Amino acid sequence: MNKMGGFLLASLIFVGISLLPSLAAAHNVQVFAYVEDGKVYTESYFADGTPVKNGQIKVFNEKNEEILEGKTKEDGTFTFALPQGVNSLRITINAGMGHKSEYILKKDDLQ
Amino acid sequence: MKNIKRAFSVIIVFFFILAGTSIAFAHFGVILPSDDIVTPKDSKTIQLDIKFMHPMEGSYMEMAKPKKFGVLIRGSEVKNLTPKIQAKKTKSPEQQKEFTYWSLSYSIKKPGDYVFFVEPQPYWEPAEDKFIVHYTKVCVNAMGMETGWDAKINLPIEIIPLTRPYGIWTGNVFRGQVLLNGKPAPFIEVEVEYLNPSKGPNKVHPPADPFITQVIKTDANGVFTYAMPKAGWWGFAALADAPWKLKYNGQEKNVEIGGVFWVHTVDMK
Repeated sequence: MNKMGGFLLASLIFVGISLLPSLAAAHNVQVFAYVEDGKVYTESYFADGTPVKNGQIKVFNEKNEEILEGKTKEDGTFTFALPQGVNSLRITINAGMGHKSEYILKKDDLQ
Repeated sequence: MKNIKRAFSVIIVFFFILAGTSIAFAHFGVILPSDDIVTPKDSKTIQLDIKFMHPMEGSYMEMAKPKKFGVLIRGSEVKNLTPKIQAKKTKSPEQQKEFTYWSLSYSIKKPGDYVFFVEPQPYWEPAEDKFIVHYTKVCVNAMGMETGWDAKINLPIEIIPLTRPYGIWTGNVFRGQVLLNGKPAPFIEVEVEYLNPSKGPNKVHPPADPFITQVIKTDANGVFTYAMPKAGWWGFAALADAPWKLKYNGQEKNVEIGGVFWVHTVDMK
């Protein structure tokens, strides 16, 4: 058990160390959104333009209530129908490894 | 006889003044955006001014409506914006009359690098007995996606940045490769000028003419490097003789083609 625990700890440290460089080298994640023809288009990407794949998108209304969520596609996009009766939308992306960002669509942007 | 001599010397002096100005004043095509790094919090609509001027002196030349003004988005999507540009007038404090430049407001729709470019009408410069055509570019980054700044427009002469052309500190070097007909242009001149404000603490007073236009040359691979000593806009103009001629009053004249790129530096503080 002790041996097993030591092995687990060592593997965890190894995994942690091997992940560190990618964390340090990785660029900021961003999400961008715009409204067209009753749809909200979002695009999530790293600074070098690499799309965020399978990133978790959450959408909140002006009362900070989560109204929907989904995953980004291979090209970093996620599209949903413009919810009715909202004054603003806060769209968050979680690309994992602490890479989070958000984009706010104000009332003017929703029209 | 004395009078003739005096008149003659006046003419000589006048001639030297004229010659002096034409040497000291370098022409630059200019595209100046109101913002070169558009963040999610900024306005998505930017203003772009398209000018033909002497940047260090801040003086203008008349600019005919450009043949083409466009943008290359993320290095893949080209949009022709020529129908959207509008004529405006301006002058430097020292100039008597106003000159035409061109302007448009542009709304950014998605993240990425926006490389704006202009192909002007040939400008006839009597002092140099030639036409001047400056193909000018500037890059605006939108919402943190750094993709497309090093893309080619395929202009007759063009600077491809080797330094990402935004988010540059004062004192950084700007490196670029000059392509002439798509091929690296070795050992050609690149003129560099600071866009000097007409007043205020950033106004520069060149102590002698050679300070106005900095002159560097590309290396064997067509690459140039220049360190920018002050915050503001810097223009780089790679110059060559066009392989074609244009007629002026029925006579064939040389055409100077320039590949121009503008970058903005910010003080570290």
